[in-house]
Amino acid sequence: MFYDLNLPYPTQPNLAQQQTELRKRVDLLIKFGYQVVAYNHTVTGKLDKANPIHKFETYNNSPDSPSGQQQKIEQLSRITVVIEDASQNYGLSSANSIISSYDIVAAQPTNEKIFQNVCGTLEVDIVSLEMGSRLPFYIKHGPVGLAIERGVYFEICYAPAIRDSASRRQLISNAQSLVRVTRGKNIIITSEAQRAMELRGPYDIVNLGTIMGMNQAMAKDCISTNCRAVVMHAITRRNTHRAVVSFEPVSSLKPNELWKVGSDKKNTGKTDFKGKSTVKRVRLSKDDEEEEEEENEVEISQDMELS
Amino acid sequence: MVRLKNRWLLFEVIFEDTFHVSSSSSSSPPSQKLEALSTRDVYSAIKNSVQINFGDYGVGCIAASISVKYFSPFTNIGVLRISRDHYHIVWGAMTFITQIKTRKCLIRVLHLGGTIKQCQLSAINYDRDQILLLRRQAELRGDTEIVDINELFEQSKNQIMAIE
Repeated sequence: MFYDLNLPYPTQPNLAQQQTELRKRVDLLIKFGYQVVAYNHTVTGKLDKANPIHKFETYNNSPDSPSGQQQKIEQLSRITVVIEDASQNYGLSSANSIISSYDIVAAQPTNEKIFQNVCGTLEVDIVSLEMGSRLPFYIKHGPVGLAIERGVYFEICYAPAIRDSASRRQLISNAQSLVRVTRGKNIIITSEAQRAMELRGPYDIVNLGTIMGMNQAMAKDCISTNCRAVVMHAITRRNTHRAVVSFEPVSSLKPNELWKVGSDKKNTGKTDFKGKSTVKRVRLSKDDEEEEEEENEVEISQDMELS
Repeated sequence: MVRLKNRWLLFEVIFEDTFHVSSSSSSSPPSQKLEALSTRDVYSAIKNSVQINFGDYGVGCIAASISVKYFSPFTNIGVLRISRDHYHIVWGAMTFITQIKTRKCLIRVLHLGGTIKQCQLSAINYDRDQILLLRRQAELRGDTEIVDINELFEQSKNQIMAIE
């Protein structure tokens, strides 16, 4: 599975020309064998507009595939917030409805203090740095280590390097220092391609990664495994409480799972439970005793609710 | 005596003006005759890109061993040989190419192999997929012209197997 988590979304999506240009880019990504794409919307300043990203309906381009099978690409939406003022509250939390309408949240710090803040505390999935131009600060071990510990990923966009030679120099230099500081961990490589001709195939990017100071395995992880980790990080951020507890309605349970809420014994035929929520615990180790205990717990709480 | 080991790169050139013809039927491409590229054009484009991106050192490293063995202007795929120690320089330079002669394009590597045999097999597979794709598109357009697919397969196979 290859991912491209940064495809700039057109600023005026209603224009037919921009729409076909976006379609071109997505078609080329499919041809190159990418399976996930994230449309990026960059915001400078206040977050007041609603999510402008409209995904293409059931994207497949069957006429183009040689064997006639449908090739599908998963589409995500992403917001990049450019943070210029540390004192301003940007509302970057999953409680914000504008933020939670996007699948992935990225932050782009513009000075060192904000960089530390983004790495250490802000609830984001990606730290995006503008690597095509000279960075206004050094990337230091301290905040970067903090970000790696929290599972936040750093982004390298390769399209500026293809666009012109000055930003190519900057990008290689910035990327090498990022790889040195992170020791190759927690990096993703994305395109940020404005036009279709700025995209490259996944294995060409792996080779580009070796130029930036990674080895081949690390570089491949940057466009596959690490990107998946970003998507999973985003899902746990959005859909769970403190990445531990998730909620699902009782009606989503299958008939053979109804024992979890104790409805197969006492409440057969009753439909009182519909619509109510049950708590599902995300556990790493499965301990039988604990499971029984939990079952009892749930039963008791349900009884209490009934009475 | 240590043997000089090579890498063989099978690459595809995708042109901006032709790659999206199939999906957007409304904006038909201009019927002007497009300039076909030769092996020589591709060779000089790659060498220029190495000069720009890796400098004199890069050109010095690859100059002895690089050679573009084959380039087909019909399917836009080619094969090149480079010594094993320096293939990443050439590959990197190919990634940075945005234009060959006057045409905007990008180069994608389809296969990297240690022997030419594997590259040839991969190229044949690729050609077959392309021919099937073209036929499907023709069917969708409603072209009634009947082309013998097997003959085309045989042709491409013979051409690619002739690379030495």
